[in-house]
Amino acid sequence: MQGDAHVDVCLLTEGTYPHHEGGVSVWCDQLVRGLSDTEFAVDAITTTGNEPEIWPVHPNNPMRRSVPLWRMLDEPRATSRVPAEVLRDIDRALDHFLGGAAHDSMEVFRSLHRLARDGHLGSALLSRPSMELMLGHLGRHTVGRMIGTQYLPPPSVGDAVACLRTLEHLLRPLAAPPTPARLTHSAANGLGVLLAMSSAWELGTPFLLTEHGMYLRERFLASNPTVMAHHERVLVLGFLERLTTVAYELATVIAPGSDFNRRWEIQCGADSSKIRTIHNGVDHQDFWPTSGPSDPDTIVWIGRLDPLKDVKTMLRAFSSILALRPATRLRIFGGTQRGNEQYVRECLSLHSQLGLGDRAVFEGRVPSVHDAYGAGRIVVSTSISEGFPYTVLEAMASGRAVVATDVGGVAEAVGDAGVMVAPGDTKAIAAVCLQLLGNPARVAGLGKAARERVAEQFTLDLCLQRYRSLYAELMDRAEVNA
Amino acid sequence: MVELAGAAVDPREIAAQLEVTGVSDRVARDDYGRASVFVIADELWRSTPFAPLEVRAGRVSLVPGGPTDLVRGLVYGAPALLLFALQRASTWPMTPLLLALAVTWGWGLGQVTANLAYELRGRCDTVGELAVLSRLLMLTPPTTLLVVAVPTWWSHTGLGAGIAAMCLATFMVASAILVLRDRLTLAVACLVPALVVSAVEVTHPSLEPSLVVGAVAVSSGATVLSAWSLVRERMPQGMAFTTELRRVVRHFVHGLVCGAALAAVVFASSGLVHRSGVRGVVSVPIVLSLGVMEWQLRSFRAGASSALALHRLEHFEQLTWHLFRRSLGRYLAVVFGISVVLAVAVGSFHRPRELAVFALTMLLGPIYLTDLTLVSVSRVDIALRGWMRGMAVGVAAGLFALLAGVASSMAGVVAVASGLTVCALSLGVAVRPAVVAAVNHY
Repeated sequence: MQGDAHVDVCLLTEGTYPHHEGGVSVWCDQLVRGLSDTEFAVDAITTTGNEPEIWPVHPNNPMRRSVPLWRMLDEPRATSRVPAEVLRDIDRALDHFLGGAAHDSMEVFRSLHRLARDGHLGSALLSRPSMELMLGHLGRHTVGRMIGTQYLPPPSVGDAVACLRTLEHLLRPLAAPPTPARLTHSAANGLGVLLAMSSAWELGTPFLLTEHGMYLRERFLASNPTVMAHHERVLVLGFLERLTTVAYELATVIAPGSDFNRRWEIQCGADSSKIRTIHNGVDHQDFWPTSGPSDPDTIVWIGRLDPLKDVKTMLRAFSSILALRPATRLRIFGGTQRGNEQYVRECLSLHSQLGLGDRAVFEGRVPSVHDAYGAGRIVVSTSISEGFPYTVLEAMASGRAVVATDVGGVAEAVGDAGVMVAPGDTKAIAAVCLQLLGNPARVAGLGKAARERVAEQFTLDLCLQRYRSLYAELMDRAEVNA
Repeated sequence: MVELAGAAVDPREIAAQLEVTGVSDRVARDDYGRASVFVIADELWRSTPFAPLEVRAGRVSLVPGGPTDLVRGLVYGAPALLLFALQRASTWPMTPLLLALAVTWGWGLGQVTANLAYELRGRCDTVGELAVLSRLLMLTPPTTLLVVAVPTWWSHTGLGAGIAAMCLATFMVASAILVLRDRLTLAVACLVPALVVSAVEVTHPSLEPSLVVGAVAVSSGATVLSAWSLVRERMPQGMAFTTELRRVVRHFVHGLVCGAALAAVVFASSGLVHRSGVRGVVSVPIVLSLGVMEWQLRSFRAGASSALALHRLEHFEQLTWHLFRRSLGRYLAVVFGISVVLAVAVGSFHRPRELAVFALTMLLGPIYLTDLTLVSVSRVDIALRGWMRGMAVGVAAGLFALLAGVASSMAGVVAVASGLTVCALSLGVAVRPAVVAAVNHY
């Protein structure tokens, strides 16, 4: 069992560590660096495999592997003849992903895993018989509700091609050989789970699933019906929904980053007895107290410039604040990731339209995040979707009064030590900020309470200790079972 | 919200949308009297009729070919005319081997240029695309010099010939970049001085050599500088392309083989005709029909892309095969027409050996179109296989002819003719499954 496990934990990531910045990457780095007595390997799902590693290699994590989804080199060639048993498995999988309920999800993925490891899956999926099957299934698919079915668009050859091409890419991780480890730990309930399946089925490795954000929920939000065609949405979201279900079944323990995720997990079929929430933590000593005096009239916004962070709402709210308190400043700290350039251009255009001038400044990335938190006494988070964000925890640890939107696990983090508002509610954000700007005593009180809350509940040590115990428990349990 | 709820494919999708708009469990309880946001989502799911929304940014429909492609063809074929004019005007001799090497090398790099540019554009990686194109443009002059150094030294043609070969390959890559970046007008504008002077020199060879060389240098320089100004970009971190290297090499080899095939046909024609005027026109039908080739290729691609909207696979296959045959037929008719006109013009109509030269050209043209079609549907592997089979048979046939005592010039003709025939047959057999496969058109 568990093959020749060379490492203790194989950490599975997707679009994050060690290639990209962001909260999940910070968490991965904390985990690897903090649990220095645990040997880690990292299997990262990437786009092309050419992405540079931007996080340092730690002595206990020399093994890093990239599993690309879109590398052209892996492009399969459609086969002209597909064996009947292979076609039967593909038929069942397509039916299952498009809503056919009469199948065992685990068995469907097992059969796809077998095909992928034998090297048949990609070429069979792109074959003409699979195309026929896909067209048939898309034509039979119903929307899942009784009304409005007359609007169901008939599938075209292009729809079938798009669906099969996408599915072939999404399933590529199933073909990757598993990394021998005593435990597989996925940082998200996404395509990394396919690697965990290989480990579990080929090596008997136990599986720990952490969810910072809800992958399926984020896909629901990202797969906008005005951007992706109906049939492709049905297939992709159906596939991810089935994958999510299997992941919950496969996982020995599910460790969400917040209780907000816990309720989504239960809603998506997770066994509540498996769920143990482990909140993120920050090294609070590092943020406490902030150096230098802060400007009482400055509002700070920190994060990457991304549509999910809703910078535009911040700019609109600040415009209202400025109309009533012209001395106020807004300093926006954070960089732009590739792909968000257009969004940043829109933000700059809005900044110009609102005539914010030098009262609202895009500071870009700063060398020291402490300086950013020290720039003002109020820190605002306007995200429309979050897990358990480090920016909010760090602002609290820095003794800042936090105004944050009630999304994801933010309310759990802030508690009574800050002010919550509805996402996108420009008026509410402006009103709360104006109130706080005129009440320094309340700002100081909220800052103090926030510091205490982090020190009690959300320290890095606490977070690491919980994972250390969980790792030991799962590895011991696996050895006993073996 | 009702609009999004109508297009939703799962009640949890509605729940996610509700949460983003501020409906948390607390709001669901306090404001709507429901147990959770999921309950509201379920109610909306059951009560809102399904109504898919129009996809704003659907697949970009391909533009069919048209007369503008004749201008593209002019840009692609320009090196041939410039070379011809340079040869006539310049004092330094350019050996056929040197020219063949330069054209072949430029063709190979041009293939890599186009392939990488389209690939990175497909990944929406504009910075990467520009950075890679700039590196390829920078790499072309030194690598071409390296490739032609030995033949230049061996044939005692002097540094001038080597530099001319380098300029030719660089011009090919630069003009490909201008076309790829949709700067066709700029590419043509850059070419104007050289085209005018070359045309005059070819028809009335009385110009000062320095004027011809100067005009060609101005055009080439303007093309390279224009291309450089468009792609000047720093290489982003992690753009090593180590994992894609095999694919890049495959396209490079494909370009080399295409260039070598044209060179082989030109060389073989020397074995059939001895009148230099006829030897010179052997590549003209191909060069003149490059625009038509582009036009037909683009028309086929656009037609096949539109056919993806059909609802039955067999209808798609019938239509795409019909479109391919139509494109091939039209192109063949044009090549045939040009060849006949040329044969009459140079007085080859009553000389069977010279007519054979035109037959070789007519065989090569459709092979190129089929090859380009296969590459455009991402089946460069089939195209390469066809060329390799042709090369193997060609070499074997040539050797056999030599062993049988056939004169070396005729053995070359036998080698090229048999190689092209096998290549054409190989591509002809493999092309249908590749072009009618819907997965290749997405």
